[in-house]
Amino acid sequence: MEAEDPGLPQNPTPDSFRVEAESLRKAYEESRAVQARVRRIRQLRTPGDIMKEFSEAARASLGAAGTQFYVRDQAGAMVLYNRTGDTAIRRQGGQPWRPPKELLEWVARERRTTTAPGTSEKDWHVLVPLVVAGEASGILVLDVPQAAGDVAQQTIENLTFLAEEAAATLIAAEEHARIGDELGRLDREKSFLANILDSITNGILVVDLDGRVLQINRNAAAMLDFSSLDVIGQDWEPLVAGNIRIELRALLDETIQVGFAMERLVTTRLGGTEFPIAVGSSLLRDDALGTLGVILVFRDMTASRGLERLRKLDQMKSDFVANVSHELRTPLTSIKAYCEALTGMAKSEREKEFLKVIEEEGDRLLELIEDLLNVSRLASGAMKLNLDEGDPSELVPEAVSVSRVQSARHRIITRVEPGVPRMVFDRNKLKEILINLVSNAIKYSPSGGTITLSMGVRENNLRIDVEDQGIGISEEDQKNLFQQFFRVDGSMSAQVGGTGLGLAIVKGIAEAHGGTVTVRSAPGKGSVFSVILPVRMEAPKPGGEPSPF
Amino acid sequence: MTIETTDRVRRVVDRIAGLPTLPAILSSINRLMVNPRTSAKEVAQLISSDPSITSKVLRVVNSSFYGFPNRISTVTHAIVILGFNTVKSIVLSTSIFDALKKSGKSGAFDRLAFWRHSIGVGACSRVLAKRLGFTALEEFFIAGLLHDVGKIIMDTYLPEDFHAVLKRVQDQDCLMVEAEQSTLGVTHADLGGWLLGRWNLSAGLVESVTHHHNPALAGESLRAAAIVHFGDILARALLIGSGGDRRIPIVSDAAWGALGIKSEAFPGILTECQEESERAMIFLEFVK
Repeated sequence: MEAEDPGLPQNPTPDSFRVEAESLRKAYEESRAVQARVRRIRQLRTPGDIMKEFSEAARASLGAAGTQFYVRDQAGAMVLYNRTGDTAIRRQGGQPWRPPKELLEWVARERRTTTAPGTSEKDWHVLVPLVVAGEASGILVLDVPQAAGDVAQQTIENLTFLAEEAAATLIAAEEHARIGDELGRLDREKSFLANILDSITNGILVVDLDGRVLQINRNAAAMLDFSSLDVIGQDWEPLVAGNIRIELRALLDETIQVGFAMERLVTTRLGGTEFPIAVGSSLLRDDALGTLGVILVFRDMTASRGLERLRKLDQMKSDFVANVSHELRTPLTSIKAYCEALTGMAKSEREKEFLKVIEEEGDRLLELIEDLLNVSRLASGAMKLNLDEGDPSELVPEAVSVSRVQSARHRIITRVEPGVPRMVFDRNKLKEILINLVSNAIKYSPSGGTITLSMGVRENNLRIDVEDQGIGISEEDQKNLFQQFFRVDGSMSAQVGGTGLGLAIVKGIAEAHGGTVTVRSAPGKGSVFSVILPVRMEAPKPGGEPSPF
Repeated sequence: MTIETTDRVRRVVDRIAGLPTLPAILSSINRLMVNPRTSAKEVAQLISSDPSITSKVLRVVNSSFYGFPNRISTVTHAIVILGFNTVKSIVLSTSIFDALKKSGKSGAFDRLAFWRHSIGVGACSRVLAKRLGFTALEEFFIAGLLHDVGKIIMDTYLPEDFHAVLKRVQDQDCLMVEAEQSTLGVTHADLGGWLLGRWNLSAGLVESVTHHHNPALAGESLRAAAIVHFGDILARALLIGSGGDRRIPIVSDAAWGALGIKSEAFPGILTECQEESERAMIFLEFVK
């Protein structure tokens, strides 16, 4: 449309109408092509795909041969973005045209599509800013192998429009990704909280002020015998059995009115069995301390009731043992006295022999009763020590002479280290420890062997070791060894007589002296029992450090 | 404009002979650009046929107002670099200065201060339009540039009336628009809008000039009129030139509502307006 006289409007001719109609038709087609491109861009979700499609569209609408994409790096500089592919045309010397930094900055600042001359009139570069939230976050550079002056105004408009759409899609994609992440996070958080709720052994039921269930965990549903956990939003009252309903109703009312309520005991019936359940409550408040509802906590009391029952039973047993021991001792003392009297009156050797058996068995019975009495005293904390100053090493030969009577097949070696000091202790009780340990060593070494009893001092503690070469004790049994009535189970030990009280008494006496008893052993490897007592030079004063005696 | 106002404007302009006209090249450019397939080279050829306009266009596009990092040596370059509409608007604004640069007759009206103010309002309007996401920024520059063109008409063609208006402004320290209303019954805004209509400029330009003192009446062009209204006030606040009075009108509620500018954005807007106005003073060369 060369104007002959540009100063005046031209008179339209049929020919110019035809040319104009043709160019309008082409313009319309171009617009439709751009619309199709925009629709495709809007389908995309990842920034890389969007930029790629945008570059593609820009190239198609300009017939551009190459594209480069620039984005702002973290330092704020516009840098070449390689991920969409750098397809800049390489020319003389193989170097592609790169836009000067000032030009990129100008496009970014002005946020307008522009054109830069290349090395010749037939070599142009179109720079299209990608404007996101009022800032040019990227610039697409197109190498156009045609004279820039031939570019129609519509082409520039289309490019700008494409860039705006691509930018809008990028924003939407980022937002979409962000919301996706956020939803995923919320989901994980929600299931984490649900796991916590369901892992609590107590039942938890949260109801709002209108009585609708806001939250319930698995245990609450089980305790209240709900058929399903799917009760959120329902009225809690029809869901709960009658007797519990009344209690819960009262608890809820009190909590809402007063702000708190005492724990209540209810009984729930599950599969024919009754369970005691304690129900506590607290107000559910929001950040502004407004009341939203009530949290009910259900605690199964079966376990604590069982413990209570066992404790009582244990107490009864201790009392029983103490009473029975006393009651047994009295008649036994009479039996022994009359037995001695009868021995004096006995005529035949046979009568004397029988009476001796009665006396010996009576002694054993007395010993047994004595043990029982000691243990029950230990249990009730009633053991009394008869403290006196003395030399503990004197006890070694005494204890061994008693034990030698027990067995002739065992060799008993004693080893008293020099330097065992005089100290304050209960002579009879400590002797009992030694006799018990040596007697055990003999009992559990059925094939004979050597038993070593040593005594020494380590860091101001008296140390007594009793070592045998017997059957040994498994690690599992060592844990229970010092409990009352415990017997090492097994074919071998079942043949060994005893009350199972010996080591419990040893432990009780050692602890009454402020000491300990330990064992090192393995099955078949023999055992070493070690008693360690602190060396004291005077009796503990009353009101001093806490002591079990 | 109401029919009553239109009548009053007609009665006033009937007394005027030989109103300024714009060069025919503008309507030729408009006609070319109606066709979307028109190339940069075609528009450039048309502009280049007027050497005076060509040199002014190149002067502006190479000024700090656009701040392009490389020298732009041809109108074709100017069009492909800055866009078709920008160059068309530059042609329009330089033509306006040509048409209106004749000195005033009242003697009491400082034309240089007036043009400074007008260029300032153009720059401020352009800044606001850019911030609000408009793309046809040059239209807003021209709207600002021409918002007070009615005062030039009075100064040139109705010197006695205008003298009375200026005296009233001085005596009563009122706004020009108030003095005009009581003296003439029409305002410079009415007259300016009427002239722009005569020049076949876009409806948006006409409406935003006509209603720059009261954007609420601008109808579809509410936002454009609000931008010019606010641009006028910003330029007065920044003391850029003078529109003939020393008052700073209050911003109309309609403008606040239409623009939705937050108060925390103000310091940034003021700085940007100041800088843009300084760069736009390149256009002052064309009125000297």
